Amino acid sequence: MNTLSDTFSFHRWWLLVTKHWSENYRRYLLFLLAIAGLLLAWFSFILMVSQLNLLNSFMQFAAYFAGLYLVGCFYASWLFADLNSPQGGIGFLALPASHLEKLLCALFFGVLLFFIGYTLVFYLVDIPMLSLSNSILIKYPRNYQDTSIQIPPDQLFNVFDNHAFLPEPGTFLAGFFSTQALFFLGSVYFTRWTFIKSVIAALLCLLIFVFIDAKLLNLFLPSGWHDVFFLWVHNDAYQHPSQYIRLPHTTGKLLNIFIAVCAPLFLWIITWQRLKEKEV
Amino acid sequence: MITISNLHFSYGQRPVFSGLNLRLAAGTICGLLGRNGTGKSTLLRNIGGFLFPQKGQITTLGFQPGRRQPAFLEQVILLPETFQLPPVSMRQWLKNNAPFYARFDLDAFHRYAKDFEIPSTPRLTELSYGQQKKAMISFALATNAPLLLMDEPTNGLDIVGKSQFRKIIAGAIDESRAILISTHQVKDLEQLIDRILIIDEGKLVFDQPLASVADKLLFKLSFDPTEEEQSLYCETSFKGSALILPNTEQKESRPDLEMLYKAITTDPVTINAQFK
Repeated sequence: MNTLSDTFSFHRWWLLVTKHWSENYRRYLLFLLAIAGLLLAWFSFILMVSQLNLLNSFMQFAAYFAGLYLVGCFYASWLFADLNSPQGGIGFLALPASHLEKLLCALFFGVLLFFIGYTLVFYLVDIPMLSLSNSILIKYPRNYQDTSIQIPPDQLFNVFDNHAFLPEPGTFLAGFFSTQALFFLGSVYFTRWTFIKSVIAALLCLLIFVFIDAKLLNLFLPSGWHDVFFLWVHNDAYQHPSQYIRLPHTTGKLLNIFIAVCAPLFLWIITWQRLKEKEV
Repeated sequence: MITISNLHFSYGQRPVFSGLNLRLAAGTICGLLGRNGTGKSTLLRNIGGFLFPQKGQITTLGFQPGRRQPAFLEQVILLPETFQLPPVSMRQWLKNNAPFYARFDLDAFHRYAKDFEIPSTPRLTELSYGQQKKAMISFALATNAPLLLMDEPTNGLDIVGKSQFRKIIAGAIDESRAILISTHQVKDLEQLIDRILIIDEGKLVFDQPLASVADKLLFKLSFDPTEEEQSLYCETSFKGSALILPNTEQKESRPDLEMLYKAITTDPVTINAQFK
């Protein structure tokens, strides 16, 4: 029978964290520099080709989340890469620490530190590039296409409040933790091509979600109504903007909490169980 | 230290073990021999908790290996044939890994490293494969773990390295420790092991202390055709016939493990009958 100290010891977990950092910090610093370089290149490209408001909030939102999802999921797949080969797997599993400590160490780096590091790097690039973009707009004022309305300076995008693009603030951010948790599970579950197989698994989950949302829910709606991602809209909603039904605010909040907390927690627990069952 | 009863293990449809039984006590250096693909590494991984028996039971130091509890991992070290070391210095590697082992002896590690003549490099990854292996062996011994499982430890070691390995292992064994070495290089371990295990077709076909082998079997070179006829196993060469004979007169001879291995895999019943 496992005792508590067999399952978790802060001392052992901290030893794992310091060991992981010591063996990988150079790689991580280079990794963050590469992300900064890519963001810088992308924003510079936008500044050169954009005819309207250069780094608007949507552009920042898209850059932030595209990078967060792509890099975060790839990193989650990489953290358990040792398990893909017997030599690496034995080294990883043989270290005298519990499976929970090993998982929590991976989550500490893959979820917490990655999110903080990525967000810091994003703003380190975004803030000066935005001020450059706004200074261009001030120096060379532009109007919206076919209007005489001047384009105002852009606002700094807040990653915790992306109201403008989704019905519930923070849904995209919440979804990241669930998606990344799926990649953590994939990296332990699959033995080869973990990232590609995890992408396929994530796409299948997305397809099932879209099918439920676009096909299944519509079957239960009255004639003339359809579902737009849990927002029920009447066909002539444009003429009568009041003719739509959305989830109550609290339900939306609960859904966000589920996506941000419950789903990742559930997937992390499965990852922990898979780690215990892992054979190399 | 190790008790295996009725072990069944297979990779998909390919059975590896079908009812293997084994007991191993402390104070022994045990050689595990077998053909390629007979499951030597698989057995070590089952004992170490990296593979799980499909049927039967393994108890290692009172633990169920598959649970991989930290207290178990601290006491059972598996040195795999191939491994990967991180791109850090030896000092940093020790700083990162030694604290996981409560009984780690840093002085002993430096002593072994000195005996192995491991050079100092900025990063472990700059060492050759053989040197990395020496570092791993030194580390494994310095943990003072009661059970060491070594998979082909002499692979990649040069002639001097093999001799250093024998010397170091012989010096490291005591009554509280057991070392199980799986190998193809029988000659490398001839003067080191004190018990020999041979597995073939999923079963343990031979399990005897080396002292008992020397007691029951006589290994000799002979030109005598009568002796050849009486032999349990015979290999002819230009130097005469190498024979394994029943040691009825309690003569002294040095067991030739390679020949013994061949004899057992050819006719295990005849050889084992000498030990009853």
